[in-house]
Amino acid sequence: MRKFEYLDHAGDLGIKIYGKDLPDLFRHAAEALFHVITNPETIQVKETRTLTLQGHNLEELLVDWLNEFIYLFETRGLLFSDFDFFFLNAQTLEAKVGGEPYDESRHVIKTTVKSATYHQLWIQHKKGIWRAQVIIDL
Amino acid sequence: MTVLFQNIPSGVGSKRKDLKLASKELSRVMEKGARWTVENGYGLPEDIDHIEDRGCIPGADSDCVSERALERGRAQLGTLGSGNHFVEVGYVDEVYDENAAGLLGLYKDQMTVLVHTGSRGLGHQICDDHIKVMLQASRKYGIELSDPQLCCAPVESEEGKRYLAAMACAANFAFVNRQVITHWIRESFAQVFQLSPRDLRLDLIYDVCHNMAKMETHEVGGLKKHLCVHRKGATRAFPPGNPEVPIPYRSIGQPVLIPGDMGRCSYVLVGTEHGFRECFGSACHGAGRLMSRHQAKKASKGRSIVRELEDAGILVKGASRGTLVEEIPDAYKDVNDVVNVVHGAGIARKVVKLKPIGVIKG
Repeated sequence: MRKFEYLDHAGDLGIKIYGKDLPDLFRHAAEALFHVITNPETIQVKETRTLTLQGHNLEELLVDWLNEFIYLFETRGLLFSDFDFFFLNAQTLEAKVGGEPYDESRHVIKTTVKSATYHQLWIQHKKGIWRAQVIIDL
Repeated sequence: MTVLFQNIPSGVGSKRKDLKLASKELSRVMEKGARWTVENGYGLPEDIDHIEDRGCIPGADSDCVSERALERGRAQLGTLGSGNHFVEVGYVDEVYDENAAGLLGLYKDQMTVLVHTGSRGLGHQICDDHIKVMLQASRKYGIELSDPQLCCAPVESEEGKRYLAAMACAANFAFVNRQVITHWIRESFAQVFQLSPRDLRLDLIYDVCHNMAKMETHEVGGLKKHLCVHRKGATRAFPPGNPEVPIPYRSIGQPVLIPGDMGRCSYVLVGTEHGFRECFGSACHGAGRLMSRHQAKKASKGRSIVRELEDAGILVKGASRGTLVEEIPDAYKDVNDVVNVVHGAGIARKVVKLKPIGVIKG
C-alpha cells in the first residue's frame, strides 16, 4: 500500500493519504508534508517533542496536526521525520515527534507551506484501509 | 538587483534580524498600520496619502490576535516570503491614458518598482485560528456548508466582529510590511545610485489590499446598503469621485494594479463607475493561474528558467528552483488578455503597461 500521493489542484497542492490504522494515516500525512518541504531522508532525529492536540473531529485534528508542523517550522525552524503516537481518537492526539532544526548545509527547502486547509477535506475508513484528502495552501 | 536582494529577505522562512518586534510593539503595528512606519523612520508622511484607508483599516483590535500569530509575524516585517510574492523592477512600456498616467506620476520609459506581498505567517495564523472559531460558529448558527473551508458566521455576531477586528490587524501588518520593503527599496536605489531617495523620486503611487473583506456602502436594487464585500482573488477598484480615492487621483479613479507573471508584463489601471456598480468596485488582482503548481513543475522539466528569462531581458534573483518552476510564465494566463477583458468590460480602465527587467522571487 502506498503511503500518499499528490493531487493536482490549481494554486495549491492536494495530498491523498493512506494508512492501515489511524496513527499510520496521520504519520503518512506528516511524512507527505515534510516531503513537500524538503527531502525527509535528510532529517535526522536530534530532538523530540510531545504534541497534544484537541479537535472536534478527526478531520479537524488532521488539519491541526499538519498546521502544528508548519508553525514549528516557521517559528523554530524545526523539521520532523519521526512520529510516534501515544493516543489518537476523534478528539485527542498525543504524539512524540522527532526531528532537528533546519540546517542550511544539509536541508534543501523545496517549497514553503502556508497552511493545511479544510477545503475538500475528508477522512474515510473502508475495507480496513484509512484514506484521507487534504489540500495544502502553498 | 543584487543590492535589493541583499536588503529584502525573501524565500523560505525569510526573517529580518534587524527588525524583530516584541508583542507590545507588534500590537502597535497592527493597530496603527502605515502610520507606525512613518513614526519609526520606515516611511514618508506623504506615503500615507497613497495607501488604501491611509494604511490603517479601522477596527483593528490586537486582542483578537493569538500569541501564536504574533510569534509567526515577529521577525517577518520587511520580508517578502515565497510563492507568488515578488519585487519587480520595470519600466513604463506603453501609456494608454496620458492624463491619468500624468496624475499618477507615470510616463513612458519611467522606472517602476512593483511589490506583491502581504501579512505573511501572521495572517495565515489569524486565518487558521479563526477558521476553528468559524467552524464552531457555523454549527452554532445552523449554517450548512458546501465546504468546511467556507465556514462563516453572521457579520454582526461576536465571532464575526472578532474576526473582522483580527483581519484588520493582518491587513495593517501587511501595509507595514510593504512600507518597510518600500523603505529598503529606496535605500537600495540610494546605495547604488548615490542619490537620496527624494532626489531619486521614489514616490509611492498606490498600495492596495487584495483577498480582503470590507464593510462598504453599495447600491442594490436602487437602495443604498451597508455590505461586507469579500474580495478573494480580487482587489478594490473605486471610481472617480469616490471619497476613498486619494485627492490627487480623485478625478481619474483609484489606481488598480494587475501584475502578470514574471516574464510578460503588469498593468496599472483605474477604477470606473461601471465597475463600481457591476462588481461592487472590484477587479481581478492578477492574471490567474493556467497550470497547477504540479503541472508547472512538469512543464519546466529540463528547462533553465533563469536563462530563458535572462534571454528575454529579465534578471531573476533569489528564487529557489522549487518556486521558480511553479511560477514560470506559461503557468499563468496571458495578463494582456485578462486586462483587455477587464478594460473591455469597463470594470477598470488601462493607464499604463509595465515591462519587467528584474524580479526578486521568494
